[in-house]
Amino acid sequence: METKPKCLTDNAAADRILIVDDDPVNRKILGKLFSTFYTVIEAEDGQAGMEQILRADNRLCAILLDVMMPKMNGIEVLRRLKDLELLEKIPVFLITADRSADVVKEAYELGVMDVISKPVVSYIVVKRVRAIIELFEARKHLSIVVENQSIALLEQAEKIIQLNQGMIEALATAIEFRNEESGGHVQRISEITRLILENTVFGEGMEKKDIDNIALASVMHDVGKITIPDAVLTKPGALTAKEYAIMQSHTTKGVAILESIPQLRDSEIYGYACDIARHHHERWDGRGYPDRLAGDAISPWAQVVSLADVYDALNCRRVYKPPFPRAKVLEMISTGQCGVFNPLLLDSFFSVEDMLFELYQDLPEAQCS
Amino acid sequence: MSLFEELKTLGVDVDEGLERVVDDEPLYEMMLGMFIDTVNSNPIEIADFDAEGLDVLIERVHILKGLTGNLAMTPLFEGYMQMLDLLRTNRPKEAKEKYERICPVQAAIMDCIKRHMNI
Repeated sequence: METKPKCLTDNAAADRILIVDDDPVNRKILGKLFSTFYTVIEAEDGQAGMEQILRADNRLCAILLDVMMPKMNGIEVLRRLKDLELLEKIPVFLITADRSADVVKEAYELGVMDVISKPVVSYIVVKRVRAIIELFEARKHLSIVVENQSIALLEQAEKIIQLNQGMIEALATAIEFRNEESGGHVQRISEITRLILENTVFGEGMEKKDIDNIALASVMHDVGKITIPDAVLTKPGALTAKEYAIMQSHTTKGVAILESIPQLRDSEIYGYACDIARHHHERWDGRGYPDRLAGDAISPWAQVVSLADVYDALNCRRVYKPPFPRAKVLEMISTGQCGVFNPLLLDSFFSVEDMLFELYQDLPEAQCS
Repeated sequence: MSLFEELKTLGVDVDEGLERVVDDEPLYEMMLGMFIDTVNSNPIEIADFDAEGLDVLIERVHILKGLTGNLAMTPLFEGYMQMLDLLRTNRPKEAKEKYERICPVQAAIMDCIKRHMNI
């Protein structure tokens, strides 16, 4: 089985013409006609022709192919070139005295560019072959230009995506600082969310692209806190009922903020971001807020972010509490002291907790023990 | 009389043959020399037309048809072309008659080439 040589598929200029004919006189004539324009290579039968075609250093701009040849005839060569998908890249001309309808029909069906009768008329064969070669070269050049432009556009789009992500993360971080948190909270929430979804049964069935979107959307879970007054947001002691209601409103106000960003509405993360912002304080038992959703009515991504949020809060210092030791954190989560979670999510969480805890190893605001 | 002039008197369309090689006279002359070699290496005997298998004969006629066409040896090219059609349709007797008719012309052309090119 022949393999397609790289040289025939790359973008380097092709300047060689291959003449495959068992008649040396035919080769001399065609060589004479085309040597002014191209480097001429000859092969005395189909088999030798295939070897030349597949040589790595032959950058062929055209193949002139006889039909009746020993070892391998021209139609068989065409069949092999078709199998190798080379007829779309190199124009092949059948130069033949055999103008039988069957041969010509099969040649065209296989993908030959033109069938030229022998004995050749010099100005006709040169004109026809050169015109097609120029057409192929122009097409190749055009496809290279289009490909380069596509690459540039993709790079540009990638930069815009990175810029958008950077802006989203910057906004979320600004909210954290206002909340007198460390600044790394949203990145850790995003990382914990990703680690759980990528490495546990809880994320089964989700594609990488979805997990990427959920992880990015999780960064905006507390965006509504920007609307909460400092007196409430940074109050060291217990909140009054009224203050607690204000604090709870960060979920619905977060959605309102996200809805007010038109560019975000067209984004793939929009749905996840709104859902997470609104429902990351719901509880599995239905005693959360703002909608008191229960069980599977809470989306898996909101559930994961909810647990990640709690886990990170327990591990880190907050205005209202010190960081808890690891064992205490795990005990509080497993016994439902800081929320009731989906049992499957808890199993998943504990199965990767070693991995999650590494995020806190060198964190000054976390107490690692 | 030059080689080309004499070939013209024998029915060879020298101008067409030269045009095929972009008026490269040395190349055309070299190809005339190759014609002598090719005829010698693809001998056709009258008895071949009466033989059982025609494959070898068809192959030789095919080669000579191609070469005489390239060299614009019109009487020979047309003769070989007709012979090839006849042989492919299994009509060797008629092909033999054609060959007998072109044999003297081919002999004259070969003689002309050999004399002028000292072969």
